[in-house]
Amino acid sequence: MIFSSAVFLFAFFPVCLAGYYLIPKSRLGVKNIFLLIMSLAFYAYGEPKFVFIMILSIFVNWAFGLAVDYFRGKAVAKACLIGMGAWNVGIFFIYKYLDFTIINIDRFFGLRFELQGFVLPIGISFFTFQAISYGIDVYRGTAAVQKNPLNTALYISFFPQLMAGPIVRYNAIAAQLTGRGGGFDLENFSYGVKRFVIGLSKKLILANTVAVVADRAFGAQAADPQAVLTAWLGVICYSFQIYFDFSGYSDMAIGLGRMFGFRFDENFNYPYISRTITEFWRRWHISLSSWFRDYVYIPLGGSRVPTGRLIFNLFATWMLTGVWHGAGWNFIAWGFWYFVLLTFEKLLRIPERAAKTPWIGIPYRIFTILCFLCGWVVFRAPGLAEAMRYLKIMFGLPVNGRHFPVVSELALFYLKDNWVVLILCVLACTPILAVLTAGVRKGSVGLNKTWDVMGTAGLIALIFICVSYIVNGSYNPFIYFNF
Amino acid sequence: MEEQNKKKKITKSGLVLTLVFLAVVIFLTGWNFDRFVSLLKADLPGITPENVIWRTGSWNTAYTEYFRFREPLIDLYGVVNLGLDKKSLDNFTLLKDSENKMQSTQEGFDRLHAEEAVMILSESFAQRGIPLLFVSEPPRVTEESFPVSAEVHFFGSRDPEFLRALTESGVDVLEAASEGEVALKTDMHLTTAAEMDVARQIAEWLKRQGIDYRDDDLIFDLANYDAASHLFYGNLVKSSGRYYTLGGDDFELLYPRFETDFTIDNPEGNIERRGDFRHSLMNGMEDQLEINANPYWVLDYLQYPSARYTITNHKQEGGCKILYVMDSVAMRTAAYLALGAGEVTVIDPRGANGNALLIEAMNTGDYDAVIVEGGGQDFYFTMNLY
Repeated sequence: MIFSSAVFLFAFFPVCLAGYYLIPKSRLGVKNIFLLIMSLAFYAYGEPKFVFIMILSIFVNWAFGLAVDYFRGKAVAKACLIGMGAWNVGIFFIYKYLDFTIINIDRFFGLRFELQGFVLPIGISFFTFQAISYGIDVYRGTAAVQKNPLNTALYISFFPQLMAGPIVRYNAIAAQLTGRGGGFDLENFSYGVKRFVIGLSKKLILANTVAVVADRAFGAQAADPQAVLTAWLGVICYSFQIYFDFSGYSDMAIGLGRMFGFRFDENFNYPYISRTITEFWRRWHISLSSWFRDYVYIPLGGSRVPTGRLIFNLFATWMLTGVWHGAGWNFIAWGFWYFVLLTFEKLLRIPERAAKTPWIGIPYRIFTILCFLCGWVVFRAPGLAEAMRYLKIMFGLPVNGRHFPVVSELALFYLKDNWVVLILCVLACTPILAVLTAGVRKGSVGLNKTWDVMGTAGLIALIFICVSYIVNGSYNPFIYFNF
Repeated sequence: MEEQNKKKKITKSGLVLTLVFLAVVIFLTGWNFDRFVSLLKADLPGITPENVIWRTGSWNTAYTEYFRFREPLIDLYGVVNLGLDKKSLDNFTLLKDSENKMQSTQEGFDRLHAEEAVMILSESFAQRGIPLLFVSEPPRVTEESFPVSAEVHFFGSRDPEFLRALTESGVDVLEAASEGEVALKTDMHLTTAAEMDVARQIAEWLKRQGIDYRDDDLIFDLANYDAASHLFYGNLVKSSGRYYTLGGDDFELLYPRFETDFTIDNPEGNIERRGDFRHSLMNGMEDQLEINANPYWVLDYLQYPSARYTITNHKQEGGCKILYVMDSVAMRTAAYLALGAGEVTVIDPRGANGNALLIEAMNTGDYDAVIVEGGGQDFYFTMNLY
């Protein structure tokens, strides 16, 4: 079930909301059980078979968590943690990478192992990483063990962040599972509504609209981009699509969480205004990059190590980040691309220099944009060869001796047909509205009042516009459901 | 004090936003919940893990297709897209051209398959001495009306390479023409006048072949018809509302003033209908005029979507027998053509068992001529005649 579907918005959500608030606020345990049941139903709606895998995974992680806590301070605790990690990585590997591994073993060693054809359970990358964070947090003692299996289950399967994050750390939410207020809080709830509506609008109005151009340029429905301009438009549209799609989902998840009394950390912070690649990754998919930082990069030694070790740490972290996104050489190449860029920045201390020196900063900002655009080409293309082909067309290089025109009628049509949406995308991926709001807040009471009325009216208009898109729209799943 | 006021303001605007959001979500749920529950109940006995995803798709459709406020919401969607200056909608399948007319793209049009299908039909009938005419309908999209028409295949577009290949293989091709408005603004179908023009040009071809087509002077003189016009909202309105399309179409219905007597027979569907032109071939649907609810009722000539049916003209007994292989672009054309023929058998290969019925007709059917006319790529894709 996706948040931007009619069944979610007009059937699942009202039932869930009504059920939750009809339970007396003193019965938080009952509310949690209700949310757990609804979360499993939410997952089962699209993937009925995999709900059993999730339940099994929850039980195993809960049991391992108890064992880690019980044997705390002994070698057995570490063994239990390793067992827990092996279980999570194991199911993750089987469903996500087994066939990819078999294909490559067969290819490189000339063998003929049979493909297993497992279908990837939606959200496995997210809930598995949440489970791993639970085990490590309990082992490190940064969070208390959860003795109630139902609370562990709710943490892993809570529907707002189940399918596509943000990856919620156990230590960030443990206290909220049992200690949040169960009553209706208007301020929290209205903030949740606001975030949900903003997220829904990002997805339906911006991401889905530019996705059409991106899909056509990358060959989902047509051949390769037939002109240099189409290739550039395609990757720009894809950059906006993936940002508004994923940050829209995160907004909706944060908003829904808030409506049920939970506070999730932010997952995006205007990544496209970054001055450096390092800054980009501090602003993009924050829950994943901080997960790898805290559970992989820092345990490996982090930055305060000799250069060789630093390069290895960065390599390991970024190859894992690439692989996490999917079983394909293009994802590995994408991870490697960022390893190279971040190593370059780290060794030359680019972030510090760019901050201090404007004449480095401005060209470097343009370089940063080009880098993540090229990165998205590798990420989006169906394979590495197609990505290279696409990049050649983008930069006007011949492909198999064929030169592509700079402009075509179709490219101009895409541009004319999307110019307003593209302007909206540029505005929406910068903090211009937040800056304006901050400016207004310093102004007179009257101006503040007008601004608030305009903001509320705008959000109400967006509610109706989003409903009109849902009523009209076709099925359009979120990109990060694939990971 | 200032902080308290600010909090109050936030609470007030938050309250309004929350109330509107809940009202929209819960109010609309109420309107449609019974439909959802009835679908769920109907589906429950048959739900298996294998088909649940397919079924959930239908539940979602139940919510979107049968929304009580669907029409104003679709209007709003169109208005937003007007504001965004969007010319393409629905994943690039529907487009509005420079004359505000709907165009529909046909992704992945397989020209070779289409050529092969028409050539096989032509050769098979030629072996039995039956002439075949391929009709290319008057083009609704031109380079002037849509600048990317050379790069994208559109529904009902004229494809010169396709027609050249057919001509070089010996297929008779009619590049039909029509003066005035060729196509509807809000749908992919031709105007009634254009379909009448196509029928006239087919009749002229039949006569050139020496085939006994009768009363063409009477049939193709519009003075011999009563005309009625209805406001028609086609597919583009269904997708984007009335304001995006800047109004609807005037759909013209023509009723012969001369005497007519037809039987339409669809054995597969157990349907036999006899009466004058209006009550046999026009299906009588125009009396119901619920055009907004189902715009195709007004277009519902003949027996769409059956794969095969035969029109017998009792006023032209002994007249020519025509096989008309077509999709829905030619339904009015076939009806007008039937006015001067003894019998017209219509085969739409897209209907149930349509391909097999076409092969049967190709091998054993007794006709004086065969007409082939299809606007959509699925018309050609469903023809597998090897």
